Amino acid sequence: MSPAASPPVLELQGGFTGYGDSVVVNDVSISVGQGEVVCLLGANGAGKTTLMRAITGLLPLMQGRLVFRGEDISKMPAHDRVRAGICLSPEGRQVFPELTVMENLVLGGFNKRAREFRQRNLDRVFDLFPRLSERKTQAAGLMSGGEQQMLAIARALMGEPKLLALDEPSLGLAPKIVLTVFDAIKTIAQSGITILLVEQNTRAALTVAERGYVLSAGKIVHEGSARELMQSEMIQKAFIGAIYDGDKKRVTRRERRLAALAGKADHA
Amino acid sequence: MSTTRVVILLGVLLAVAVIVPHLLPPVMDDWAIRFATLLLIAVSWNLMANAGLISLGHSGFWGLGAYSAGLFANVTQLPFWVSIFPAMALGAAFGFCLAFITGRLRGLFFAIATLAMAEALRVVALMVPALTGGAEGLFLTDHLRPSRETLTSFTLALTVAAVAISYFLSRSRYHYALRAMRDSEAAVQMLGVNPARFRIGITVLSGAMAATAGMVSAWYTGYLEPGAAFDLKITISAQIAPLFGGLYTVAGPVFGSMALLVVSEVTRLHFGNTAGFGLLAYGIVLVCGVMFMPGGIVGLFRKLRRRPRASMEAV
Ligand SMILES: Nc1ncnc2c1ncn2[C@@H]1O[C@H](COP(=O)(O)OP(=O)(O)OP(=O)(O)O)[C@@H](O)[C@H]1O
Ligand SMILES: [Mg+2]
Repeated sequence: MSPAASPPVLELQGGFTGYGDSVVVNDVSISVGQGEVVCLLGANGAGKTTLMRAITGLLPLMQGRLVFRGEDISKMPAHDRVRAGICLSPEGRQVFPELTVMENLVLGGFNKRAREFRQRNLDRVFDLFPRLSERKTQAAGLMSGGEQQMLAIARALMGEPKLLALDEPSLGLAPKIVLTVFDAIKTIAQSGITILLVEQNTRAALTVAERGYVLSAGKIVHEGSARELMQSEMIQKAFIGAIYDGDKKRVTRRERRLAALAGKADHA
Repeated sequence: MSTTRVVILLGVLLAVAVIVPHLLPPVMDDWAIRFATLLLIAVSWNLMANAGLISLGHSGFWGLGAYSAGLFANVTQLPFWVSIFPAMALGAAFGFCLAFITGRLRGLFFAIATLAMAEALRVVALMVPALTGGAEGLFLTDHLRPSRETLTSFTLALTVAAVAISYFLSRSRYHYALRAMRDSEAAVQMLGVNPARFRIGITVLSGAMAATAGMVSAWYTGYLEPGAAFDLKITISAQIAPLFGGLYTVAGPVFGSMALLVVSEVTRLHFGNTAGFGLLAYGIVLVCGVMFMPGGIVGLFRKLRRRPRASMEAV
């Protein structure tokens, strides 16, 4: 099945980006079709978050072209991309810890386009995450990691996305909570919202995604349908192996980050 | 509180601000003006702090307000109150420059940049004696100076306006965006907020507000001099008052300014002649206040109010 069957919502052609002089994302081309759920897989440090930053506008593209719903947005500032319809649930959640759940959500719907749908979107996210409706007035920082992840996704949904970008929603969550979160992602997808999902948890990602790309050292090394990817030996080698066998340094980096995130949640 | 009730309350406060100075003995006028100018810069400083912008440049706003008002009045010979417009315009313009030049600087870097800019203004004021009178200073046209009562009424009315602005801002949808900028500008940007615009908006507002305090002080003393107009002490009291009263709150600067004035008067009167000792006592009270009341006076009230409610629930 070709992704070009319907005109893509998002298309990146020959994208390069990175930090200062170091190029992290190297000649990447991806496309996401209308209503599709596409996942971006890859090991630690592969450049998934960096690519996500380039798509949402937090990092400029060094080279390449980014087209969103027919419009070239390569040079558009991040806040305008939100108004255009790209809403992100960032890696590590980044909810506003001292604001309440409700305030976080209202902020999520701050952009002009989303404002008039606020009530409908509030109903929708409370439907999706009943947990949040029970905790409307609680400070976001006092919630559990799973609840904060739900809030981060809900906040992005409040922005009335045309493309929902999720960066590692399973990060640091217990398996049971991962299931809850991915069930919600499935429901969101069924409501017709286009989703770009970054994950290391291949199994979970491939239960919701229809198609995926595998990123390794900043390059796309593989792409295919969920089924193909699930069965691919390549994936096992490309990064599951990297995590569990070879690269010890990467393991510790991730562990340290997880610990830090957990510590932050406990702290707040 | 409903909006209509707030508006009525503001109207009453405004009436009180205008009438009361005419009924009070002169010494109270002095207190009222010191309280009001402190409150103006405290509210202004708190507005910026709420958005994560820690200013060490408030003496710059104050000095610009003072000089632009004084020079404007001396040249145009218009009534004193007209000079509030050039003061606010220059304060706002300086606020804009501050936001523009500091770009995306945050925290300590932002603070130091604002300090440098305010100090630069003081040096400039010293270096152009043709305009500012340099170190010798400058007198405001005497017959334009308002009576103490008039100036006090005018200033108290300004403070009511400043607190009202801060209150209505805290009720608006901009509040959460500004509040969230304190945590992370990148995260707010991902919600469709243009942080640069909010930054500029808040520094312009804050600058115009702080400049009015400088304008009042210029008319009050009738004399301008760079060392006093751009005094670092102004910047320091602008942040101690909100800190003492309750950081990031609407009422904090109000209580903080009152408390600061009371503490400074009491220590001054009590230790009278040994001036240094009075200042020391003043400093000790402030340090203790900040150490033992992390939420300031407002935080203390909240705690006291919460306790009985909790025990009632227990019954
Ligand atoms: N702010 C930054 N400045 C400089 N280098 C960075 C920055 N953020 C990430 N990098 C580097 O870019 C590379 C890719 O990082 P990125 O965070 O995109 O990986 P990732 O695929 O999201 O990994 P993970 O699964 O751990 O989140 C890494 O080598 C990392 O060290
Ligand atoms: Mg990442």
